[in-house]
Amino acid sequence: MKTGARPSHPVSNRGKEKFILFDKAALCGIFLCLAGVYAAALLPDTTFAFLAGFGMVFAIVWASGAVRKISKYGLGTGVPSVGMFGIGIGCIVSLYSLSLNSIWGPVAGTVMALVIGFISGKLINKVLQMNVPSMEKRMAEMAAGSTLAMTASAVVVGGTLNNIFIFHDYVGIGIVAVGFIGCSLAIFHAYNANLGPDEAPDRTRMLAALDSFLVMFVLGIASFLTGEVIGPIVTIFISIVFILISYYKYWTYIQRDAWKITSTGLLPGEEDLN
Amino acid sequence: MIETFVSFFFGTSDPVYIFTLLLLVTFGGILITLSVHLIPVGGAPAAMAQATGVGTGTTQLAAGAGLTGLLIAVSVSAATQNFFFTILLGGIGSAVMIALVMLMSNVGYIYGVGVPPASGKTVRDPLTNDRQDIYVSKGTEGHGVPTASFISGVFGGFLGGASGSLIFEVFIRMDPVLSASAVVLAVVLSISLFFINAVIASYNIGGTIEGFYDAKFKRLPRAVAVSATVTFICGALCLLTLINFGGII
Amino acid sequence: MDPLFGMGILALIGAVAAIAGYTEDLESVVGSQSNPNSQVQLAPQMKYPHRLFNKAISGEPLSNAMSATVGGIVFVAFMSAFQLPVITVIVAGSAVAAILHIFLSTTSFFGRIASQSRFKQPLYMDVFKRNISVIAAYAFMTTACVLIISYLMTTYLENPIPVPLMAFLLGIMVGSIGSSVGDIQYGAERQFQNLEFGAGVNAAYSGNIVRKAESGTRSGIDNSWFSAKFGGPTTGITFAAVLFITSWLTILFNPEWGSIVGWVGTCAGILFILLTILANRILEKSARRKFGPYREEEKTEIVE
Repeated sequence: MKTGARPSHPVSNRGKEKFILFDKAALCGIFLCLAGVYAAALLPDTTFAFLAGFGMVFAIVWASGAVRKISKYGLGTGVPSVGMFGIGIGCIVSLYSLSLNSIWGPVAGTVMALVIGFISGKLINKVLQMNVPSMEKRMAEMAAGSTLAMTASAVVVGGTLNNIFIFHDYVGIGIVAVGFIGCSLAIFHAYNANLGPDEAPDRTRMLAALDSFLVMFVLGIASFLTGEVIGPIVTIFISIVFILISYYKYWTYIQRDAWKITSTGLLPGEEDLN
Repeated sequence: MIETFVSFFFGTSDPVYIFTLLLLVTFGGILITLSVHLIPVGGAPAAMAQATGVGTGTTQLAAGAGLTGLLIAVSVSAATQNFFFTILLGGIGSAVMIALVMLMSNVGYIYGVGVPPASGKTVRDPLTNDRQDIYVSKGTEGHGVPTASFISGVFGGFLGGASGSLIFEVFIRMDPVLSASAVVLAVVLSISLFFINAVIASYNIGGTIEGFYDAKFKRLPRAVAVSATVTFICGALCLLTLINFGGII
Repeated sequence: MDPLFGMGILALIGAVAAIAGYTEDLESVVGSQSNPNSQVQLAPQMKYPHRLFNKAISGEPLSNAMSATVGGIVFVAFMSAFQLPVITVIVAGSAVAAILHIFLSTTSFFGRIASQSRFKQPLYMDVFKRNISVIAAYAFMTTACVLIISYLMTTYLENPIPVPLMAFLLGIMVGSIGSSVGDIQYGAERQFQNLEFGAGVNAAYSGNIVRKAESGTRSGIDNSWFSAKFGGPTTGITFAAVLFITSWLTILFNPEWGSIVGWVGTCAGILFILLTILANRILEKSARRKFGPYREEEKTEIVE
């Protein structure tokens, strides 16, 4: 796996990147995700639970961008292990923030995840001597993105931040397993599936969005377990529509980037390769 | 004002008892890091018979073994509520899994690829004292799981399963009501801690290690320091989560 | 629980687990997933464009855990919402998981090939069409088997973990076993069949994978029959043995019946581990004796 992880484009390495979160991806990731979560949680009807799903998409796209930037350096352990670290922190922090039974839970969780991600990135860089530039920032982004995605996945199911619901339905039935593996897979599948020297950021981002809509589809099926009917059907319908749209967009990016798309054919000859 | 702030984040419970449990969780996290250092993993080159160890990623194999132990630990814990047997049998379950995987991957190397198990890093096997550098085929660093790595891996598997079960057992004891949801919560939090520590250890060894005799094993203290810090913070959050959810029946 | 009944359930679990491990390994071989994927990924860079299905869904354990968890959640949701029989919901869950797996496989195949455009690796649509149905079928089988095991474990073996989380754990287990046991034969032998049998792959040959089939150009499905003869069965045996032995320790010697029984179970586990160490040692010695050294012992200097 590490063979393909070589940075192809000259990586913009502006010395020590400062820990600033105010780039566009981070603002989208944090605020749109929080907006989606709060809209879904505060609107009284569970029909609007799908709004949290859109929030989840933004969080996952943000976190997968961080995975992409870390993995470009080639850690020697494969892309998935980076994502598993993020989702480990994300799962713990998001369950903690949901257990608070407070409207400020998601915000507190995001701040906590940023801090924990920053500390662990610093430790990994300094103590384990990985020396990956701006590891702290990426780890913080990834932890916060995973936390927001997990929080949003809980809200998609029930449309509420009530911790009795979270404990009995989201955790008790085992939907948390879908949140865990679905968010983690969506976060690192995007870069892992596009690994290679000609990887394009917009294609990776579109795949991250497609993966998150797939997770939203599964969460929609899972919300049948809460006894609702209208909310899950709306979530499933919207996610299917967006899966098809993003799949089509992804396919157009593939057509743009691939060397040659052929219905069949022999292997390219010597003269083609030179 | 301060009391509301404290109870918002920390709930209300006996702090000394919680702190002891937190130290146990941290200890479990350190043991997970140690276990990953002991399991012989060769990464992608091992799947091409280019490096000694099991041919898969560190995190993946450690997770597979640890979760096998966790599965056993949950069923033992549900049946007996016995702290000691839960940890012991969880460790045994993991060790059985890792032993079978190493044995069968050796069968694969010997009968599927036709190479004897050998390591290029040491001339003689540290435990059996057999000459093994002559059995390393050309252009590779070794292949298969030799006896020293095998025994190292069994111990690593045992420690991994036992520490995962220890963390689970601490978490399940936090909840006064043994409901089904409490079990799921404890399992999910233990899995998260397991992955975090496995990845830290995997970064420390750079993805491949052959066992206790590998030079990379000497880097263990660094991983222990990082693992202890991160597990302490995350373990505290886990315990607070369990306290907050604990009142719900 | 009656131990005899438990043993019967365990035997069933073992049989289903063998199928799960077998199909899991073949699925990963058809798609060149997991660690042998590094060579498939490297080949175009070394000027060896290929017609293999290059699929990397974040390592086998996680992709199998994803399929299994999705299957598990659909299983639970359909069971509680529509009161369908168990077999029907297992099929429904596996079907949804297989569809999701198709999405993940196709995107990673397209993405990885498109990211190698500077090495002039074409994207063959017939490779995609021929392989994807096989991958989906194997993924369906694996998920169905994992769901059957989860259902048996939660319902009859009284494990308190609910089906989706149990499926997640079993998915990680079957993936990590398939990735470590089954892929060796594909990675070290089938991809490098042009090299002499009986040696590890020389690092100088990295990326020089075999691209010709017995007739025509090799594609993912040409590899599955090869692995079906050795890699798949060993994976199946290992997964079945892991589930059987570990559950056997707690069912035959249930610690519920007293701590002495628990100790007997512990001793049985330790004895089994010692037996595997012994078997490994015998295997190692016999292999070294029969295959012989690659270099002469006397001529080689010992470099400590």
